[in-house]
Amino acid sequence: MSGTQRMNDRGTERNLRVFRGRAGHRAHSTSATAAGPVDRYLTEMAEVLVAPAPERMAVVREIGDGLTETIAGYRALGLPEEEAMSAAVAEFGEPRVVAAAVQAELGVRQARRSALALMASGPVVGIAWLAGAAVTSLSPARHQMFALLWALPLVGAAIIVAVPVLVGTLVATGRAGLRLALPPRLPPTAVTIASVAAVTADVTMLTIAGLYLAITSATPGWPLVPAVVASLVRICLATRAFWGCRRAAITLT
Amino acid sequence: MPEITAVRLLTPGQPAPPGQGQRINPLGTSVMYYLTVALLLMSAEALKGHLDALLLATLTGGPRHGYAIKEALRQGSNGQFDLPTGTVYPALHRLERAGLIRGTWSEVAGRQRRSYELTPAGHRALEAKRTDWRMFSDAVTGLLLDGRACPVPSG
Repeated sequence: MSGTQRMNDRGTERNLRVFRGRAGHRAHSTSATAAGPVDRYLTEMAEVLVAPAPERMAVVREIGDGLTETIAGYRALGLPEEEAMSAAVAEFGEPRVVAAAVQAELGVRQARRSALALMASGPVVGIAWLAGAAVTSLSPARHQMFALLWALPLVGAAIIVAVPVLVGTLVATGRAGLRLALPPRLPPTAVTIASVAAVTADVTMLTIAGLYLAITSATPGWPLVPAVVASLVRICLATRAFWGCRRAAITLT
Repeated sequence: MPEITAVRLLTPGQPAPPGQGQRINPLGTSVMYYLTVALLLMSAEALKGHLDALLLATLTGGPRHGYAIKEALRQGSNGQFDLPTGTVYPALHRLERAGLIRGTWSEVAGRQRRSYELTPAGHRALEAKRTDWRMFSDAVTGLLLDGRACPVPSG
C-alpha cells in the first residue's frame, strides 16, 4: 500500500467521523441501519479523492448531506428504508463516477489556489532581493565578482516561464474559464511547471548569495535576511504546490 | 457535466454487431463516425453552457442546497433534466470557483449543510444568459416554426 493510499485511508476515516459525529445524518432520525450504505458510498468515494484534508472533508460532508436528503425524499414517497437507500445511491450515481467528477474540480481548485499563492509571492521575493542587493554591502561591482552574475539568466528564464503559465492558469480557472473546455489536468500540470521555475529562481538566488558570502568573507547586511527568508518560504510553498498539483494531475490522467 | 451514457458508437474498423449487416463503405463510415463524435462533443458543450445557466436560474428564488437545486432543475423542467445528483456538486463548485455563486455552511437537523446563493456577478451572468437565450430562441422559432426560412414568393 502506497503512502498516498495510507494517507487517504486515514483521511477517509476522519471524513466519516466528521460526517457521523459533527454533522450526523438523517439516518439517525430514521434508523441506525441507514448509516451502512451512506457510509459505504462515502468511503468508496473518499478513497479515491486526492486533495488537502479540509477540502476532502467538506466535499464528503456535503455529498453525505445530499445523499441523506435523497434517502429522506424516497422515504417520504413511502419506500421502505432499504429500498429508499438503494434508490438514493442509484440516483446519486456510482461513487467512483461522482468521485471522478469531484476530483476534476478539486484538482482545478488546488491549481488555482497554488497559482494565486505563487503569483502573490513573486513580487514579495523579487522586491526583497532587489532591496537586499541595493542596500547591502555585497555589491558584485564592489568586489569584482561578476562571475556570479552568470547565474542570473536562470532567474530570468524562470520568471519568463512562470509568469505566463501562472497568469494563464488563473485566467483559465477563473470566470473566463467557464467558456473554455480545457482538460481538467491542464491547470495542475501547468502549476507544477511554474513551481519548478519558482524553486529554480530561489535556489539560484540563495546559491549566488551563499557563494558570494563564502568567497568574499563579507559580513551579510541585515537587508539580505528578509530576502533569504522569503526565498526559503517560497521554496516550501512551491514544493508543496508541486506535489499537490502533481498528485492531482496524476489522478486525472 | 453528466456523462452521455446512452450513446454507443462503433469505432472505424470495429466489426458491426451480429445481425446488423456488413460495412460496405469504410471511408464513409469513418467520416460518419467522426462527424457524429464532433456533433456529440458540440452538443455536450452546448449543454454545458446551458447547465450553468439553468443552475444559476434555480437560485433566483434564494439560497438552496445541492439536492434542492437538483430537484428544482427536475421539477422546473417537467422531469426533462433529471441529472444524477452526484454530478450536480462539481458543477456547483465550478460556478462557485468562478465567483457566480457563494456557498455557506449551516447546521440543519443536526448536520452540516452547504447552501448556495447567487453573487452579484452571478445575477449579471444569469441576465446575460437570458438575453442570449431570448435572441437564440427567437431566431430558431422564426426559422423553424414561423416559416421565415421559406417565405411565400410574391407575385
